Amino acid sequence: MDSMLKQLKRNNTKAQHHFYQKFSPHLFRVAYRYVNNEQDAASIVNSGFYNIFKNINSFTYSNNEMFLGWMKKIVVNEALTLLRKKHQFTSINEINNNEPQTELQSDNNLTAEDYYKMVQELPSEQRTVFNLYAIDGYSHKEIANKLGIEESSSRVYLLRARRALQKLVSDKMICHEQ
Amino acid sequence: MNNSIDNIFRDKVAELDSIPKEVEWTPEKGWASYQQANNHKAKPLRRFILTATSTAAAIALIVALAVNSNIFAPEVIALQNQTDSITEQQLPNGSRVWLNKNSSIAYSVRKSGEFTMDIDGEVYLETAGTAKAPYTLRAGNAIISIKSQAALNVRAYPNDYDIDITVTNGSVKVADNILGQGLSLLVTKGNYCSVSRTNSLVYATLNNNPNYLAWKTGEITFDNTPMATVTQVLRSFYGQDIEIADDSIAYIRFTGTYTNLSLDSILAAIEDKTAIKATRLHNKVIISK
Amino acid sequence: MRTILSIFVLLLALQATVNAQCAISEKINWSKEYEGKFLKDFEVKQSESNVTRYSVILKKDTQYALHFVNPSTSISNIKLYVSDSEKYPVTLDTYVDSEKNSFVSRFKVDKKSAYHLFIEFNEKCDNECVVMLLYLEEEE
Repeated sequence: MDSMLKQLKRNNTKAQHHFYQKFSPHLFRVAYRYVNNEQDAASIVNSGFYNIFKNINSFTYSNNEMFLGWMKKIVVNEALTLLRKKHQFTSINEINNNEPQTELQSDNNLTAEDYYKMVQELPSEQRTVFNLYAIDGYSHKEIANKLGIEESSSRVYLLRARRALQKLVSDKMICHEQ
Repeated sequence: MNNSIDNIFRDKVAELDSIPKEVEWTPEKGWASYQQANNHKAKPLRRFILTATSTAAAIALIVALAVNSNIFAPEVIALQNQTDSITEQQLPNGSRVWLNKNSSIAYSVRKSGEFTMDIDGEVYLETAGTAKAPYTLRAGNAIISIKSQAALNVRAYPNDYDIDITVTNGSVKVADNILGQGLSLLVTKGNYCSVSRTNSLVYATLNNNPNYLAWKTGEITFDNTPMATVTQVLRSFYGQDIEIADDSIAYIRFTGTYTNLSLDSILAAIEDKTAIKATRLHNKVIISK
Repeated sequence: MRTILSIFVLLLALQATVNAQCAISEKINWSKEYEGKFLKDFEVKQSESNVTRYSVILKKDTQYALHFVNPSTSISNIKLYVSDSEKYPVTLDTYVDSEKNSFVSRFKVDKKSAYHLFIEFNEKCDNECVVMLLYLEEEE
């Protein structure tokens, strides 16, 4: 990794190609989760790599996980930029904030791919907030900042996303309620 | 706090690392389109050679047939430079244009004489003195209007954050197509204007970059320039990795003008005039004391 | 040593053009420093007359903030004037922070047009004299 990074810092095209081959599938998955269409995801991946290669010199490598995390952050930012261009994220008010009390049964015959697709099926605000909060670990405050909405709206979207996903899961299989 | 839904989805999604089956995108396709978009930045070596004409085989010239009487569809002529050197061309109205690598223009002349040109990449334009009608240049979201003889450099590579316009002679008006053409800045000789691609900020100030035309003239000038900037300019011009080993060197100043020289010659001159040493390591140059 | 190297390589990596950039400002991400929407950072150099001019197109009924930071001289040696294209002055609301050796001027214009920012230096300064940050704080 260290030698690959050295080559990348020198703008070595071969190294960039190799690096792209290695990491683009994973980053494509990240982008595709946000935009649920291939063209947008491909465009996000490429602007993401552009920024990664451009800023590689400012990154101090410590371990693979942090490095991957850094790249993911860049790709998520690109995804949000595209989403914000295409779609206006609005703040909403919802009085009833009660969380559903049921829990999801995780050992079922749904595949990981099924779960991934369910996230993609959500409407765009819910999908974006759920991705940011539940999967990529951003706080509501950070989400509010990134999308230009109120923190409370972020919570509402998350709540709606969870409800919707719960329904999607139970529609796909038989769910045990506790 | 019901976050088991979150955990389940997060864990399941984390299992997936490969490309979804239903998707046609592949890393090879992605890389091909990445290269296309970023070609001029990916090239590591950049040698500056001034060529006189378009005889270089790689230039693609598309010429539409002239239809004299048709004033509603003026012929659009496109000129692309996908080569490793500069292209120069004289336009039908007497103007001259130089295209940097990976640049293209598409221009048309109406019957009224009005001249419009779309620019992608970097271009230097000298308008002809006998132009009877205004020029309108479009580069990214910048709109440049020229009403009298002028010479200017326009840099608008797709991945630059700003469109840079530097006026060598005469004066031009620069607007942003979102703010509207009615609102423009007058930019005169010796001044520089920047149009942001992302937030439509348009501003102009005195040009303090003497090397904005180095790509065309081959001339690099340093005038009491701090070493940090010197290495920046050299790096950009020669496409070589040049690093400063020591913070204290960054503000050492250097003066000198070099035309069509190799990087090694300039480095030798720097070593000569200052206490600095330039050491070559594989493909990198280290500047130290 | 590595951080110094990486700072300068960062400097070089961020350059898209051959425009000179101030080494000082590259270490900080200026877009996060202050409130509002960050528009641009400028390294202001002293010109031969001691006044440096920027012309900018500004929108009306919008509150802009110009922060002057990292000066290479005392901040009291730096003055800002803003005027419209007819040379009428634009009123500035200025706060000086002597501890941080910086100041911020806020203003609104009532017409969408080209404006001139004049930065005057009362003392000779070498290197890059001050970093000017333009933020958009409020829009109607």
